[in-house]
Amino acid sequence: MLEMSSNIAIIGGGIAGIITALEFHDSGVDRIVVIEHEDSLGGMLKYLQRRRIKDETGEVSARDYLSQKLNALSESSVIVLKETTVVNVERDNRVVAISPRGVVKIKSQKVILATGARFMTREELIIPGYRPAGIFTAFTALSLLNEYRDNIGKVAIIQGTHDITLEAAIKFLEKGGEIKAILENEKDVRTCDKNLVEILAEKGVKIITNAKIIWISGDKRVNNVIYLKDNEKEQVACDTVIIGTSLVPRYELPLKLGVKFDFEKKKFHINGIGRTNLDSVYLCGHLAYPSSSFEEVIKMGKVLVKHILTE
Amino acid sequence: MFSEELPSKADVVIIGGGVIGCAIARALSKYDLEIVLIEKEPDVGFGVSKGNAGVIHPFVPQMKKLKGKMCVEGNKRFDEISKELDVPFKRVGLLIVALTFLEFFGLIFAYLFLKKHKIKVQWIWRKTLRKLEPNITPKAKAALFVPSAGILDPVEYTIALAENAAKNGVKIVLNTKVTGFEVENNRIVGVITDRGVIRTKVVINTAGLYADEISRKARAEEVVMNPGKGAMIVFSESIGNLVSHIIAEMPLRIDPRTKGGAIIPTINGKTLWGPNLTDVETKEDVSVTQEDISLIIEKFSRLLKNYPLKMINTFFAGVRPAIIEGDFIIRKSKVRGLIQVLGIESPGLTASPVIADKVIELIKDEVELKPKHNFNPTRKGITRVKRMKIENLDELIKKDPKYGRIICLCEMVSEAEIVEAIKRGARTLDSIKFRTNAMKGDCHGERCLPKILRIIKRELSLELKDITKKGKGSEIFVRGGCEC
Ligand SMILES: Cc1cc2nc3c(=O)[nH]c(=O)nc-3n(C[C@H](O)[C@H](O)[C@H](O)COP(=O)(O)OP(=O)(O)OC[C@H]3O[C@@H](n4cnc5c(N)ncnc54)[C@H](O)[C@@H]3O)c2cc1C
Repeated sequence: MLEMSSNIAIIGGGIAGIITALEFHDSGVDRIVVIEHEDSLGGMLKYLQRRRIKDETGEVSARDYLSQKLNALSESSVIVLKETTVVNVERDNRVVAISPRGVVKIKSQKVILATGARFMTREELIIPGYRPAGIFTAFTALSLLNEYRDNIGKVAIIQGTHDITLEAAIKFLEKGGEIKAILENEKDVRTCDKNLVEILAEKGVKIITNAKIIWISGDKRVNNVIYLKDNEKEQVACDTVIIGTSLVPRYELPLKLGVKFDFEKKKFHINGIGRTNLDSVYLCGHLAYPSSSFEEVIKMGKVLVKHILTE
Repeated sequence: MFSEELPSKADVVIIGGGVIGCAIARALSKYDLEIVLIEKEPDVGFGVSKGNAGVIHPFVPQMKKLKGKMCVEGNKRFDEISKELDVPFKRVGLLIVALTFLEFFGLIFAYLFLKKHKIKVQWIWRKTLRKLEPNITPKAKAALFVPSAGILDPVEYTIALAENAAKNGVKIVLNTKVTGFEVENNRIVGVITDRGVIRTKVVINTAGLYADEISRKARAEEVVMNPGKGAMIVFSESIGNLVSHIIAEMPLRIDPRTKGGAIIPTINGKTLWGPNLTDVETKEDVSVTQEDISLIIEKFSRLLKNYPLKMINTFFAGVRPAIIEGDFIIRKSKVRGLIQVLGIESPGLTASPVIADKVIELIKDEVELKPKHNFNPTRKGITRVKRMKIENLDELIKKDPKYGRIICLCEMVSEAEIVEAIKRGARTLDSIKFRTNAMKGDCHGERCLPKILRIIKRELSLELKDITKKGKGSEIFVRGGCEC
């Protein structure tokens, strides 16, 4: 068993975790540990290929933004533990994690939870019907499309207009797939990168607002869906459903620790910026604010660090 | 564990690798026989046995029927079986609650009924009830407590039976469909499959929903199915233990659409509500409708004070393989050599060990049953990181670092468990899900699905296009992507 101690333990090495680590570091804090479940840092952001990120230094692609931050991190004294999964935080902020090297325990002054968010599933959205293959959340779709040459389907219908959803849609088209429609349950498109909408419009894909899937059919693989638009039902033959409406926090770990959660809204109770009901446990990024944009996540990560330092 | 080759002869052929076929296979493997189990799907337990509630029932209302007797007997067997097969099983107990005076009167009758049938039962009054289930509605006046009710994971149990049977020599052949029979002088002599013929002395029809088709193909008695669908909702493990017993409302009206069902804490830490019962037009209808969901929510949320209804993990449905007789039928067919196991609806899971015994009794006249001296009743499950203490985990990871590489975050499933599932015969994503619980968390594999695909590809040297969710036709990828 590996035991260490730190001033700051950051759980989750997505953009929120990276930004807070860098902020603490730049403010002169030492002994910072970032613990990441995956074998590389970057979280959701590393899957985005077209999205552009704006911050006070200007606008760059999400990729370039991420690699700048990762470079800064690797030049800093921040310790990064990859392929390390936190299973619990015991008394006195003792973070318990497991990795292929064994169990790790890190006693830390403060614990920042930055485990990010995930897409609402078909089940949470209560889309009734069958449960065949071919239903993906936008995130899974995008990561499969990024990783492999083959496509995940031939004809898709897409629910939701999150950045990641639209990136997945574009990739699906690039691999020769056809998109019957992109449906948005709300009256407005959700993404804040209008560039993505334009690319799709150029490719002839329409976004239908105020519309949602109400039935999925198919035995082995999806074969059709029914959606509702202005009280009219429309049946569409397709073999793929991509669902990327809104994000919910990855609440499993914080709930285990006892962070207060609103089960109705699926949001944590947060006092001010990132403070929780637990002493020296903070939440940041999409975990704390699942519906914020990447830009907001970055901004709020920086603010959280200032708050903690002035406490 | 599974056999690639289809044997050309056997003493006994079991048709269908559901919980019933597998229980029979295991029970028969105690004897010196050549046993072949044939399953059309790419894994055992993919039929009705995966679409059920996982309750080891203490009784059913129809105690005079065969299913009533077998239920009570079966229930008693699970302490031993679960130990032998290393399948987690817990007698959480059943609380039948009364919310109204009318229901309270119902409880009195239920109490007498259970006493009469020698089922252990106990009155629970308001105060104790509140202590046992703090989250129960204040309307609950009293309850009956039946301690013998238990829970287990029905697919884990089915797989364990199959693994133990295979260890004791049963050949389990998957992806093989029985299409007909060779019959000579009104005696079955061979089973025809889409992969060839097996000569055999005895055939056991445990094809569940398709037992009627099998019977027809053997030119045996006509079987009329009366299928009904049950939908269930599962709530997230993250809400914590809001109920710790199986809770059912004392049923009064027999409205078939809301009959039965309960709030069930599952063995994997989630909570299941249901099932309801609806008519179906086809046996393949395992869809869940908006109406099913509303009905279940309405019916069971009344029993609790408050419940995080938005925290849905999943919903699914199963079709009951009932027959019009409304009971289990386990008997020899008029076609010799065929043993019919029909109408195994609920409580089929509970009755499975007793059904197997009954089949052995029937088979005695057909083949000689010589006990095997080297029968091994035990089976070891896959070592689960989630079920381990941290102290022991460190040592395990030192031996095999794959235990330290978590693949499924929600369910804390390591790479070692996935690799082990594949070693034990999992070839589809659902097979891996059922063996390890990976992808069963609230995100349903949002991040781990790609990783699991990578592991399957690597372990089995499969091409991407050949990896499926649940067999041919349920591929994850299609060919024909561009060079990007
Ligand atoms: C909604 C619901 C809830 C339930 N809850 C409970 C419960 O809580 N407790 C309980 O005790 N019981 C419960 N039951 C009942 C229980 O699930 C069933 O009794 C049991 O699963 C039946 O098992 P089986 O092996 O007969 O059927 P199956 O599991 O369907 O097995 C039959 C197998 O035969 C295969 N097959 C069919 N045709 C062929 C062919 N031609 N060639 C090769 N293979 C073939 C099928 O693929 C299938 O795998 C429930 C049932 C339902 C529907």
